[in-house]
Amino acid sequence: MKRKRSITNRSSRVRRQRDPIPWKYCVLSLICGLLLVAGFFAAAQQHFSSLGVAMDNAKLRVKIKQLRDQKRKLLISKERAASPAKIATLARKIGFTDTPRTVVTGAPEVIEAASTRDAKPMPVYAAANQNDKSSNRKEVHVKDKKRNPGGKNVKAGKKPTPNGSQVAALSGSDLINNVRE
Amino acid sequence: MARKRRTSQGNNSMQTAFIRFMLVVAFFIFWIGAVSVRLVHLQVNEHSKWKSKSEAQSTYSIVTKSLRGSVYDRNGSVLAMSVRVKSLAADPGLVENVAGLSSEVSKITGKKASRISSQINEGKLAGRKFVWLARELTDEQVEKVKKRVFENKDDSNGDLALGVRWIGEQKRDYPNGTLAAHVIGFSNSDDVGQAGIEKSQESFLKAERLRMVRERDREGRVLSETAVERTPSKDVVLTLSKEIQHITERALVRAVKTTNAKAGKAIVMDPATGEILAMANYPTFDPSEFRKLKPGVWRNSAVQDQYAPGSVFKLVTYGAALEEGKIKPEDEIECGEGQITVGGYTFNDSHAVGRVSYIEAMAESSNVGAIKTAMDLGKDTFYSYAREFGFGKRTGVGLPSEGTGILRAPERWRGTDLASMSIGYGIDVTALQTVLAFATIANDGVQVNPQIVKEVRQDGKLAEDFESESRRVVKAETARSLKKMLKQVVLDGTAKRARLNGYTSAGKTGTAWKYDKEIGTINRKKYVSSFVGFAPADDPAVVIAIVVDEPKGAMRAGGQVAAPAFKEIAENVLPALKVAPDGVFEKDFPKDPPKKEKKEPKDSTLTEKAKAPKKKNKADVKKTKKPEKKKPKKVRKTPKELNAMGVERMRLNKTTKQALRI
Repeated sequence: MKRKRSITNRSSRVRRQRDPIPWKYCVLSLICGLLLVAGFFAAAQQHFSSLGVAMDNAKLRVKIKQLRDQKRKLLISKERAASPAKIATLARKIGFTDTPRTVVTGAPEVIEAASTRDAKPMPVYAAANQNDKSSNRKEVHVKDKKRNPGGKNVKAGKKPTPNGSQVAALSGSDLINNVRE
Repeated sequence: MARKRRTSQGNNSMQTAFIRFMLVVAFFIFWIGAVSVRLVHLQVNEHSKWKSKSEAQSTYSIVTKSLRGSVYDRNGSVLAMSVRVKSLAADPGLVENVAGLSSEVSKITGKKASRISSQINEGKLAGRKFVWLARELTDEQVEKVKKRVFENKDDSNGDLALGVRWIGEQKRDYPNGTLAAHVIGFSNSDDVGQAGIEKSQESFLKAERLRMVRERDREGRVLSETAVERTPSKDVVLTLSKEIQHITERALVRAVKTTNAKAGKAIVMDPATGEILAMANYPTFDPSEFRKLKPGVWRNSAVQDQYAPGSVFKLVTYGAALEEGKIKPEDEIECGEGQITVGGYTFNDSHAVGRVSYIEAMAESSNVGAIKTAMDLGKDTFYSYAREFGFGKRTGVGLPSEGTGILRAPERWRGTDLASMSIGYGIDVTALQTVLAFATIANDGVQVNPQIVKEVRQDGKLAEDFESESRRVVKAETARSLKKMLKQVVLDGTAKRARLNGYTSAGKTGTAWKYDKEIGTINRKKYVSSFVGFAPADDPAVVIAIVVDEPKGAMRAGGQVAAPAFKEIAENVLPALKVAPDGVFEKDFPKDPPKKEKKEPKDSTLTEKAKAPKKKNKADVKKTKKPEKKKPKKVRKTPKELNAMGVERMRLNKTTKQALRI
């Protein structure tokens, strides 16, 4: 009797070990998918933020250009206002005379001035590049006048040279100060 | 049993679901894989192709010009600078409201409305696509145009902004007006230098072509900007000082106007470094108004024009003789009755000086003394020293069209040429050459090449530095001897008016007849009066040359015309340079001994009158006493009086006249 058992019946009796639901794979796939989507979002965000920065940058570039132009215009206005001819004209208008400054009237001051040396004012082109520490504008050295003893192709040395404030201090600025007073 | 069957069925369905799920996953993996493969193919294999395509769509390039470089003085003051400005242009074919547009632009710019409308209408008829409406507008005008033209929608006759557009330009600005105009020069509307530093330093200053590549998004917004071709222009720093230039110009104008002269030029130079501190010409011009200038007005006469130096050239004659050991300053020379005949022609002194020392011969500007000295030297030696001092060749100062002067080789000289040249005729020089010769003596015999460009800067950093080369021309001892002689010229010679208040000075006057093209020979009514000197005399800080062209009236001699200008410049410049006074103050000046008084003009009142400025401004009037009436005719009619006033007269031979015609 036992021998007559059908094959099907016999196989149905076999107990196979199977996983109920493949949760493991589902979660793994989900995580991978989420990571992928998150990656896309991150990339998109980076892309659009870089575009935003680029556009802001472009606007700032335009602004810098405008400000530089404005600075040049202001510099020219300043130079125009401080031109010796303009100062002389204005001084004459308010009653100052054009008497040439001589050492007679101010001999002690001149002698004193000759012994003291004011700090050199920063030139415009240097002031425009204040941040540039590598600006290597040559300093004026006070050297002995007779430093060119002779000989061919001797490099000419630098000599104490007039600077704006010094000259102005003895000419134009006197007028300006008087005008202000 | 049934329970077991159900379980088995459930297992089967789960298995089926799993298989299906895995199929979906496999599909997605395959799909992503396919996409990835495609992406790799596009980005790796076809990278360059798609990149170029993308760039062509998202980027574009614009070509502009960078701003022209600026010109600064030695203290960093701006002498020339370019700024961006906006101009208004129109496409005549597109403009529909011509009357309204013309009216608005006219109100803003001040141009005539009828002119603007006719421009547009003519453009329409001619089928032009572009006409200028207004150029180089100010910021205020730009704002007004924006408001009244581009934002004005009220005009019933049509849109004012239609066909109108902005054009960006750059404008060259010279904030100091006429100051140093001949040195700076100007650039034309295409930003190309036409004269002066603007021309000679064009390679540094020129506005470079600038190509910018911009990346944009699909809406045209600029994302990035990269300069592809960019060589920024450079800034030029000059050796000029704005203040000293102003002082020099003021003195020159006064000298020219006082003497009713045709023109004048002045140079101030530092003898130790060769730096030109000021260079002035009169009449002058405003570089901003270059469109209105007559051709040649911008000619820098101080370096381009040549003239017969007259007695100033005696510096070379005596310098060569001293260097060769032929004379000593204290040695005596017989000048006799003030006449000497060379090659059959007689040269005269203004007055007989008799037997005098070389110092006195120089101080009295004796032609006879100079001619005798030159004859003793010989023509080859004289010529070689003239060349050594820098005559007959360019100084290389760095300004355009510099003149060489005329100094013929000795082979081409004729009988009287050596005599003529020794007193400054038959030779032509530039003002700069004379300054250089005197600077050589001031610098103890070492000649330093003059320079006007101090350095070149790029973006505020030093790009190029210029240093002059120097060479010895005469021994220091010779230079000291010459200084001694030149000092005497100021103290007791023809240049007493160059005596400074508080400082010592030295120099030489020159008064030469001018060659007149119209009559083809020298014109004895036309003079070039000059004074070249330096101060302080023993340790010079500046060398100053003043040349006045065709002074008219009673005062014609260099000592009368140019020496006062030297005095004015030196007395203002030396304190500015903080040079301590080393001389006598005016109140302590020694009075002239009576014997010398005969050399002064007989009618000193007349001289003083002519000296007074012609009431140009209140300050000048206040400064000088009220002049008495002039009597110039009387002076002109008596050549003896002219002689007494210090005018150096001489008779020219044919050879000299021919030389002057060159």
